Amino acid sequence: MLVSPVLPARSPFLPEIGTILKVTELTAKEKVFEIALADRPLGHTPCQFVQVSMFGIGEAPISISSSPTVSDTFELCVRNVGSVTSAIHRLKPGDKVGIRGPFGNGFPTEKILGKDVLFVCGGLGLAPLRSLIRWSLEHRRSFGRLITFYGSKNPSELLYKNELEQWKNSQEMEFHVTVDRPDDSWTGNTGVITTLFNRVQLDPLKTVAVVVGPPVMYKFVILELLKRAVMESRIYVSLERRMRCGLGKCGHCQMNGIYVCQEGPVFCYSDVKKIPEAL
Amino acid sequence: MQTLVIPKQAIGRLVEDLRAQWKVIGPKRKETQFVFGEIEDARDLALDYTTTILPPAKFLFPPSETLLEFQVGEAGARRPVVEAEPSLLFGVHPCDVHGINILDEVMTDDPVDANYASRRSGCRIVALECTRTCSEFNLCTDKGTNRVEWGFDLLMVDLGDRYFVYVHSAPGEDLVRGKDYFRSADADDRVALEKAREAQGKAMAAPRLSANTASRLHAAVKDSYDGLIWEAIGRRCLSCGTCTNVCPTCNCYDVEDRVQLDLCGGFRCRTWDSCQSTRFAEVAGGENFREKAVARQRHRIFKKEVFQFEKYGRSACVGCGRCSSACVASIRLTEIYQQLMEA
Repeated sequence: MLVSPVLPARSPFLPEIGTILKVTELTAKEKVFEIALADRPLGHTPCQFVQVSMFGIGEAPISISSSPTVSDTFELCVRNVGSVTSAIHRLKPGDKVGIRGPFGNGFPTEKILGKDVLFVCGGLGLAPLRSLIRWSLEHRRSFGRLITFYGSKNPSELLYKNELEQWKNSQEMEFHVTVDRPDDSWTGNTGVITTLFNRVQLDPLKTVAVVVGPPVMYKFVILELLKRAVMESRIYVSLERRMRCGLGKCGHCQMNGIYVCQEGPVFCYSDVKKIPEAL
Repeated sequence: MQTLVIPKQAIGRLVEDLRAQWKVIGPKRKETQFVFGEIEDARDLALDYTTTILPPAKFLFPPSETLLEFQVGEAGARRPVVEAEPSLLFGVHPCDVHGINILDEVMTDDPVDANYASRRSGCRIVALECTRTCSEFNLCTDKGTNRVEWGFDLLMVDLGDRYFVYVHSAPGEDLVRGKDYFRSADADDRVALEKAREAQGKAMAAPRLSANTASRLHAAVKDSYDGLIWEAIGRRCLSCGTCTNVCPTCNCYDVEDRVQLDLCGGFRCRTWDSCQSTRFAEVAGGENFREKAVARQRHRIFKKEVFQFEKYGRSACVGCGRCSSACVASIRLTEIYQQLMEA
């Protein structure tokens, strides 16, 4: 017979209420929202995500882009692409949103301590990685080199421009940025993100790489890493799927037998390479 | 375990008595087919039924249900909703009890689905052993799902003029307590039970696949990932999602907000979704991880025979045959399994 399951004290579908504290427009399509929950810190780890509710429109999974060391508030970088995200874009400081989460396994930060870390971010992939990059900069003495590659379609779509300037001028991190299609004012690197690999020398015995970007980017970046003898078990990826429930049930994020919302979104390449439909 | 006997002519009284406390849901005729529905008149109960259009599991995981009630524009005004009504599923075939057992395992796995779990906790199940094979698409004797050992409160076996009744749980004892038309089973009833089981064995179709189906089928399906069989099936599939709608163990869903006509109140609802629909695995940028029907059909079968098999230790296909009989493109699970097992 069925042993009655212990019912959770709180419905897993009931969002908490978050208050928008600050809205920053990054580009024509992306805004950053600083949010505080009513009665607790979010308590996330890098590369986790939340489900953001606009009541009457729906929910969307959004990566957390702030460092976990900032605990009283958190930041979401939201691209205006659908009905929920366009409603989020209309929010102003003081407005309320529903928040469920954080969800996902988050980044196994212990795996990169003491190593040279290469962050490879394509487009909006900078948003989840920024959480880990900032955390790494805050714990700078725990690492060897910190290197960041960031690729964007064009200069107008670059996110966090002020912060990028700081990174560019910083001694703490080697930072390289490229755009696919430059405009007249662009004086930096041009070309897809893999062209940046020729600008640094990686030590394969020390390097751990973390790759986040659009689905098409992974295989080309991983190929470059493997060509440079970075070990498969030291390449991490964070995968995008359309999570609806965050509870490992609804099936939308299922990648073969794996529910990305529960077991991901961060995977080690040596594990994920065996899974069809993953990359 | 208590063993009882109830005469067939007392089933009507039993159902009426149960209706005093429970919403009784059982098999009924619907034109030429059968469905599970509320039994408001015991005469509607059709215990000689063959596989119903939809499985009884749909009363535990309904096609649509409300999860949340809210006020539009007032993020503070919201409350969780659990739509659960004490129900009793009456006359459930063993394969469908297995289906519910599998759903139980998935939905109460951490993090627990509170809505499903509440509904399940308030549900009682009276199982009924089959006397024959329901249809040409059944794989119950292959899957070992023609009998069931657990997951029910009472189990009835047809002895001709009466039912042999196993009382299998404490809530099951409550169901029979104080009802004078039940009597304890005696030696004659046990002899009749043995004969009935023997007759069942003869009337049920022999296994269609080979011996050791469970482990061999898992290996055969797992090995087939790149096989042309999926291409052949994908070309026939219309991606209508009927196979997943009628499956007793499919549990994928979508969540949507529904706003009332006054534009003030609203509900967050979940509805069944299908991994067969074209955009099921699409992400925001437009990338679709199972763009072709071949990948989606393969995913459906792999989920039953490989992914869930490896996670929970048993296949999530109970062999009820619904997906095969409902498919408008005549994609038959029986044929797929035969092809793979003979490969």
